[in-house]
Amino acid sequence: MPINKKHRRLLPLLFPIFSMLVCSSCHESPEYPNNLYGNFDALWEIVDSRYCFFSEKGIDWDEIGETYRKKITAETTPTELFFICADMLDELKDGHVNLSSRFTTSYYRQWWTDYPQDFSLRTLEEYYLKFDWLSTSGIMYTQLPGEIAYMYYPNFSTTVGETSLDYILAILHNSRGLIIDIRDNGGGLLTNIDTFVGRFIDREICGGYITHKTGPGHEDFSKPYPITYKPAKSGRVKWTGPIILLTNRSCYSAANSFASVMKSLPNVKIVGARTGGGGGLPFSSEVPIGWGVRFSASPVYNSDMECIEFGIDPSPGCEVHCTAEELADGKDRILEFAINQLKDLPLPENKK
Amino acid sequence: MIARFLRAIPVVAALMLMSFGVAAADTVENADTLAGKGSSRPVTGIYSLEIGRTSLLATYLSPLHYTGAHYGVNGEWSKAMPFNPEKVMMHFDGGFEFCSLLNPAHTARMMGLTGEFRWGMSWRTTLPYKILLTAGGSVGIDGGAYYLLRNSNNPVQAMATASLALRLSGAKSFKVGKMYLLLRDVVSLPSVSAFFSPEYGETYYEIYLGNHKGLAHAGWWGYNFCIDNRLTLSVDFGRTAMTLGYRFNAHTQWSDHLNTKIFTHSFMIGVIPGGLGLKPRHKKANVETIHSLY
Repeated sequence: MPINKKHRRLLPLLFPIFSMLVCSSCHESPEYPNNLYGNFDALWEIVDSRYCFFSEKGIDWDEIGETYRKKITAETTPTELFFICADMLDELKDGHVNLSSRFTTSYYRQWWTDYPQDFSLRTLEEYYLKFDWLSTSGIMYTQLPGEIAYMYYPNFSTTVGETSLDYILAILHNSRGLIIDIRDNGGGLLTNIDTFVGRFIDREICGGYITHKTGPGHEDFSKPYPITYKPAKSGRVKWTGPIILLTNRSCYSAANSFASVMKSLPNVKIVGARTGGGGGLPFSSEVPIGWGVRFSASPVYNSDMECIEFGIDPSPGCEVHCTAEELADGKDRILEFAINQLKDLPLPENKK
Repeated sequence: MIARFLRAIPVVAALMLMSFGVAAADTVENADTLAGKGSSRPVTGIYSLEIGRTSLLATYLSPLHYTGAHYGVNGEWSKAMPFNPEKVMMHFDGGFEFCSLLNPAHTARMMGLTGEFRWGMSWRTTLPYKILLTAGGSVGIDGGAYYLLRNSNNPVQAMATASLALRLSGAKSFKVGKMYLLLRDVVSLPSVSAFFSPEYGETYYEIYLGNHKGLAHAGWWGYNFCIDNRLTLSVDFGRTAMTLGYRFNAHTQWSDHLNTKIFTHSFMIGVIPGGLGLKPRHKKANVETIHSLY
């Protein structure tokens, strides 16, 4: 039976179908072979297109890539390749950068190993807390002699419960000031910052800004988006008195962001040493051999639009260090500095 | 805007399900009979399971192709429309799919869960050799997520699309020995769409903070291309029918330098309760049955 005129009109439908099939293949992504150079090039390009601090750190990534690519030879084993790649990533001088294989994870440690520790947990527990403290939501807390409230929060990975914070602040309320110790806090969940900061403010504040890459170019960034913090809901226990935040070089990532936000509050002083930084939210990716790579991808800034990747300085006149000898002798100069700042302050009127 | 869009998805899905639920209440045994015309318009429902293989590239998560097993459960319902039953039919397609994928080195696993619902109407005509051709459109939503277990601040490729689609199908019934068969191919081509995608290096934390700018994208074939093709052969046993088939589904997205490509090949096996009506059965006197599939 011949195809009649009516059915012939259906033929133009074939054209859009054909064009769609063509269009669908327009956007190709690079593919890398699973060999020495393929893996190296994949890693180099992932970082090249997505890492966010090339300009701030003055890094010539092209040159670094050339230098380390030359180290690969036909005799290079996968394990040796891993360490060549790890060394290349160390050039970023970034604690958020890791290369993960099934036998090890590379990690740039110099951001804290090259600096004094300024903290000893044992000294704190033995000489200042007298092995007697309360603990909830990963927070150790007590009232130090002289009616000074103290809490130690060693890890932002532990979610802070609102009710737990109510109890802590209620128990410590009859104090001249509050010391929040985050020394050796390597970071964790940024959402914990909201929980804490909400207790110390009475109106919404802008605590910083965040941007992200919008394309593979080194300067392809979005407009900064404000990170706002809201006061805790009514009925929650708040703290409006003076606060001292203790920091050291091992405060990193979320702890670094927390210090940045707290520093912008008028009733807060930062005491101790400059934090370690970690001002970029890490992204993950991988190379054909199966190694995972993590790197800073989304820069965070403080409320003055200053990059916090290199750490947060103590408040003016509040930089304090303590040597390993002092700590071994039971003397925590940073904590004592903070206590001295608060000990002569009056108790709140309604709490005398 | 994106929040409103996402909130609207379950409402639209519920309305679509309800509208077709009313239609699907009809069965072959209790079909509409047009007053004065003596015709019946049964709902033909095809319920199928599928198993196959998915290949996925989602550069927001990884530059590597993930491959692995694909499983799905689908339903397809169709019925001739009352106002022009010989020429117009409506159809509703819905389904859920799950996949478990590995990277080439088998060191990381990705899990995907997606769903799709489409409702539409098609005009139909009979070509030479009694080939039934339908052409029409549908409105639909699909969404889900692919979760890469080891990623940090970019762990999920969320998918959400609302689209208008072209839908074409061809069907030919024939008999081999004593078996009544229906060979059918259905192609769905979402054409104009709105879809969700974060920007190139945008973390879900930033979206959580409230930065929803640039998440909703307008799509056409060049940026959000999808094709779904189902080739089936159904055997009518009278009171029921069985269908076997092959399904190919391709979905590609390109936005903000992010490339997503999902290709699935799967084998389908299904059942058609009530049968296809190809095999002669006792018929009600003076009632003409208008089937939607042939």
